[in-house]
Amino acid sequence: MEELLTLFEFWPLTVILITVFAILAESYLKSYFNIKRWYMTFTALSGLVIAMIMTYLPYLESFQPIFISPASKPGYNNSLIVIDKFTLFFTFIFILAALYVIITANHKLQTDEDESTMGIFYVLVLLATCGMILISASTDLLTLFVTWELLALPGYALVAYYTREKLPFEAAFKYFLLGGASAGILLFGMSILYGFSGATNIYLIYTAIATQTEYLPLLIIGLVAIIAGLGFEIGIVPFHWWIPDAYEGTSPAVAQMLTIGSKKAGFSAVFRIILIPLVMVTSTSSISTQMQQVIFSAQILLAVAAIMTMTLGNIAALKQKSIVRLLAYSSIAQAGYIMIAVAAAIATPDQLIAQLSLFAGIFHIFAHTLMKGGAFAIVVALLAVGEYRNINDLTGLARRSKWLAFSFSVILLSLAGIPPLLGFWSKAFLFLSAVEGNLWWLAVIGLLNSALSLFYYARIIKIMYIDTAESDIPSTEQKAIPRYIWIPAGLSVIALIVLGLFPIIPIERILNIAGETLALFTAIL
Amino acid sequence: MAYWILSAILLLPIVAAGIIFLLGRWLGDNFAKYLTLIVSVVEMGLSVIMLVMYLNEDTAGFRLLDEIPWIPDLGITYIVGVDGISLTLVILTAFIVCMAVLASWTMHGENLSAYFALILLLTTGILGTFLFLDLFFFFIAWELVLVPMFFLIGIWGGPNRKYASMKFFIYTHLASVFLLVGIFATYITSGLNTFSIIELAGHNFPTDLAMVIVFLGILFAFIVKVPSAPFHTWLPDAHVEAPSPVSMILAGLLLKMGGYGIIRILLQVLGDVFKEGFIIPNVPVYWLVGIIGLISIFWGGFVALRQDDVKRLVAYSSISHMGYVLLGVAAYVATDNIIALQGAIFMMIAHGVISPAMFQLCGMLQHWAGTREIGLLKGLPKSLESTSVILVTFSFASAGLPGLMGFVAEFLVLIGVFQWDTTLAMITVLGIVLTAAYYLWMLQRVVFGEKSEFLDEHAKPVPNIEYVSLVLMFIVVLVFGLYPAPLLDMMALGP
Repeated sequence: MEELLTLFEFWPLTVILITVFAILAESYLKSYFNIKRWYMTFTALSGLVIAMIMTYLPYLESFQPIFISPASKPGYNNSLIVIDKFTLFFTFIFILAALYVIITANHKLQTDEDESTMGIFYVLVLLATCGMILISASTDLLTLFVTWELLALPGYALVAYYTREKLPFEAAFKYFLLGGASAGILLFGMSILYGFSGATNIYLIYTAIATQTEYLPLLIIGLVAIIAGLGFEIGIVPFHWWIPDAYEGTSPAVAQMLTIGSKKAGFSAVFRIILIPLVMVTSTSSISTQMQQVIFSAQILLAVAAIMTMTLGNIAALKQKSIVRLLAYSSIAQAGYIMIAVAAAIATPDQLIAQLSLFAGIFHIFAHTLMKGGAFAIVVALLAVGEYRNINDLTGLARRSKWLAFSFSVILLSLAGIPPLLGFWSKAFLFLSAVEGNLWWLAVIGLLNSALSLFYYARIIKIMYIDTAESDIPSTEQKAIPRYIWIPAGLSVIALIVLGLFPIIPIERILNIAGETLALFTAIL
Repeated sequence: MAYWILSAILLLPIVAAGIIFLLGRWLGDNFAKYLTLIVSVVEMGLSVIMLVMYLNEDTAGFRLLDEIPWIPDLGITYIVGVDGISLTLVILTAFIVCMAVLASWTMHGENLSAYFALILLLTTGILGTFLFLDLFFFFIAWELVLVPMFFLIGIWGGPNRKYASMKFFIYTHLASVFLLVGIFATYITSGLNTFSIIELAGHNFPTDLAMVIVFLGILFAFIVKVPSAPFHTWLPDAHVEAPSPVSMILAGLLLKMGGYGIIRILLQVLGDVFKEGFIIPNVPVYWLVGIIGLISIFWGGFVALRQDDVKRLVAYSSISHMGYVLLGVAAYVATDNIIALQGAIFMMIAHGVISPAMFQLCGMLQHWAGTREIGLLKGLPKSLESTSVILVTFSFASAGLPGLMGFVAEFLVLIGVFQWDTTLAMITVLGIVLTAAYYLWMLQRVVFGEKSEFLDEHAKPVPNIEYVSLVLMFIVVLVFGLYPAPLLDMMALGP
């Protein structure tokens, strides 16, 4: 009975799996029943929407986090995954990302897909989404590794999906090679943590580590290896090299999935495995001085990683002329901003500052999902309209496609952090948490980076609105914007404006999630 | 008791902007023009009502407050309220925006409905900085101003507008970044878990080096906005390339945001640091502010002397005049004499009326004399009589002729500086001479020269609508120049 109740709490995952099987069935049976592709799209979308509604069900009554452990060894200490508000919120984000991807992908699937592989795209996206959901729920290192691969393998296939073209293959190959190597490094780091505690459950590991006084350099190596392995997916320097090539080489919808799905899943893993447990360790009363030094080094390491990531992302983006590459480097820089939250959270033993930092990190993840989701949808629209790949192709776009230019401008301004859009609020809280955690230098560098980024965002807006070319393409020569693109693009724009004006709506929820998740971890131990 | 009036003044323009933006295509440019004019007149009416309500209430501190908790967990509240200083600035804003709309009446260009929508959005941003009493919202309004200005300069501006608009956007945004850090540092240091200016103003801040650095960070943001030398270089480009009505708003209102920020945040909230902080031992912080002001006066003045373009000359004279504001504030901190502060604020209002008039005149010269180049404008009265008269009048007003507002402002600031340090006062007087110098020289060449052939070919008759705003502005300058007491009393109610 209890297992059934457990399944009920995690209906989102079950629903998505059912949808996967439904699409596979449709794909198998398509020749018998004359199934068109839009049936499968509809199946996928409705499955995702139902799953998204399911993420709210636990909030109806009083909600207790549920730890899922093997029947022989119950309890949080042996749990493999936990279903708490953190998991459910990230599930919501990943389902939202999957919705964005499936709608955005429609354009290329319509024009370029092979009849024989119809439906496989959706299956891959949904499986990757399952992987992401489980990553955000993992409380066990090995579970994390398995679900990491569940995310990665469909990801590799998706990047290489349109095999008739040469570029996706190269992009996928880079992604695959580096992904495989990073998974190995991740496993190595996990093995070190296992060595310290004799367990793979993070509660047991960090309880053991908190009072550790010997072999601490080895612990630092372990943590660095884990950050390196996770950092590949997140895209922090120096593990980011695959990102611009992969994003540019593959179709925009898959690049969208990589940036709003995989990257966020990586961050959820960092929060679960690194941030939250280290916060617990810093606030342990029996912590040794050597351990405090380790935490301090970890904090400096994370701060430096954040600085390098932000700076490299922004400076490289300044030079970019290709729209997708610019967005790729912008994603790298945004990941750098989120790393600030990770560094700030473990800086002081103050629980409130840790809560604020975790809240800021999750908030920016949410905002970034909306922003890049909309941005890549617009990329697809730009390709559909006139094969615009270069930012100079956008000259005078405001005259030809008023709403497209407006939507793109809103998203770019939000990415730059201009009030009163949502991007401003999330960035502001990131930097506030840094200042609170006494890392004011990190905040200053972050803000300078943010000001620097305005240059390349504003340049696109300038090209769209202010530049005029002699050979201005008349609007009659453009093809029409696919209608359905307005769903993700319009959703993003409206959300950025409305939530920017009334940010209390997401803030209250996320602040509560951050507080409860931290409290849950520290209370248990 | 929650007052509706301030929220109404604040939100009406942005609602109208939204209407124009969404329906502009169908309703046409003329609709946008008339709607904007109506809204700006309504705003002026609301500001008069606000004045009456303000004078009727008798509480100390801020009046007409409206408070809505926005993000309670983090201490962010939507608070709007006025005291004497922000009240005068709000009235100035409503007035100048109306004048700018009148000056835009004869504008050509495409997509003018977007132009008027952006001006309305700009109005909300400017009013927001003057009305919001929460540091977070203040920052939001501060940054909100940048986006419409970027588009206004970039789309409807002069030949070098692309460079000017980008420079303006990036430069001022970069400066605002330091404001944000400073706000965070202030929030954390106070320990009060609130961003409300009212509560923070009552808190005693430490005056150690860390706090001084925070102060300098925030000061940097305001100095770029004011603008003060040597961080003024965005202004000449932005002003020259912007269309004249936009220059009117830029000079008349945006620059005052910087001065107001210094008074509200640096003087009221961080006043302890302002009065007692030291940058290096023996050099108090207010000396830095005063010296920066003084440098601006002379830098702006000397560069203005060299200009061939009337608009560039007026732009540099703006830099020069805003230097008096900084000087006045520094003198107030040094001597605690309210006259210095009143002079500084009065200079903001005076310059806020005179400078838009000067910029409108530059626009008129551009359109109806055909050029802004001083060398080609010789003998202007022969072609454009009334315009020359008004040009002479406002130039004298800006130079500080007694009887007009500029003189009152300069005089009061001078009193304050004299009490502070006589040497500084003597240097300041030289600055006044410099101001008169570049204006008189410009007038001599433009108005009192031989008639130029260029004007023969290019001069066109000036439509009467242009004079409406100029006459109204002149009335203000004359009335308050002869009888400044009501305004000064308002400013005395300040901090």
